[in-house]
Amino acid sequence: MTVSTLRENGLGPEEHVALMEDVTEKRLSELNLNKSYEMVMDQNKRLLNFSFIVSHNLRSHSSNIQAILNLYELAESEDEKESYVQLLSKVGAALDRTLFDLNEVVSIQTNTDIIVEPLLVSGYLKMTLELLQVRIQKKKAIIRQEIPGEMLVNFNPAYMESILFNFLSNALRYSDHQRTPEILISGTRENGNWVLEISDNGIGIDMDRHGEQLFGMYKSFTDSPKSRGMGLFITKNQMDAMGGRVTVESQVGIGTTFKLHFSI
Amino acid sequence: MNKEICVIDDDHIYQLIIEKIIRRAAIFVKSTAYRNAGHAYQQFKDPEFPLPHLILLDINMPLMDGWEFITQLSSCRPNLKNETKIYIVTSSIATADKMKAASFKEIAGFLSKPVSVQKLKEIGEQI
Repeated sequence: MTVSTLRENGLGPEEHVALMEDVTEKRLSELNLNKSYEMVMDQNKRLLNFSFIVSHNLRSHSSNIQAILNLYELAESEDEKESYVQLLSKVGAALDRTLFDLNEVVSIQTNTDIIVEPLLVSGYLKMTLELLQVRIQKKKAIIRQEIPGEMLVNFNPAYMESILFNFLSNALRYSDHQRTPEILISGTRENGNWVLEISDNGIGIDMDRHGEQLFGMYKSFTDSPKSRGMGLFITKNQMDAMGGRVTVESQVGIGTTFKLHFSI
Repeated sequence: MNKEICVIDDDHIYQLIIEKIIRRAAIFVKSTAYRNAGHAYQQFKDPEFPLPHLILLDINMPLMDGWEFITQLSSCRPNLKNETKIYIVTSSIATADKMKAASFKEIAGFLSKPVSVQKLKEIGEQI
């Protein structure tokens, strides 16, 4: 609303004019514009990241192939040649693995008509815990569940399985062997949306050092050969594709909490 | 001179390959390999520890990357530049990485993989 005062001959106010305008639509389109800007920026970032992966990770295989072929040409005996052929087959397997990973990423990011249905989180959690039963027993981990029976989220079933499995297997894998692993899985409502929280007392993540790269492809922060830097990357992409969000809080030596924010 | 070389790279296939290239180049009497830059750093940070003459260092590695390795090591060994020759050896062909490497006085050179036997010979003969 704008109010202007009309004066005559420098005397006191003669009359006031009030103009009222409905700006709802303008504000809405502004908000929409901001939203699409963020989406484009986000997509751009993912594309850049993807092209980096393609150039770096595919190149590492192709340069290995080149190097092996160079050595092959210089080889002086059949045995030596044979050893290079064996090396080549190793590169072949590694290359195949990389392409499989890349394909998985592309399929998440381009799958627009993927099935979304209301899922009962407690049921999926039960299933995941059964899958992980052996590992839970081996680690003697204590699992606490506080999932409300009415916690239903609109999500793709396969993504839900993959996400729960990833976070829970991470919580077990990165446990601190000096204490009994404890994992708390809870569901709460935040501003009307469901939030699934997975909290562990594991080794924790140095957020200052790795926070920014935590969800990056092929970013791993441990020495373990099992840690390939794909899990969190895939889960974040699956969450994004479903319109959700993942946030993390962590302290080295204390533990990590991942929060999955589902959209309605 | 008894030249020693060290390779820091997390790619285990590359480690197997470079080992053969080093043997082929027939210049170095001893070579060591680290798949974790942090382990190399733990060894090298002691100023009394004699550094190899040549270090082939990868950039993209988990936990500690190549840049961090140099930064940390040079804070323990201020004379690092004269103690060893560090060559960045990476599958990256990004100019950003090349430029970053040029900004480090401790880095003697930047090589894109693959490294040929010939190239390693040339570098080895210079040191």
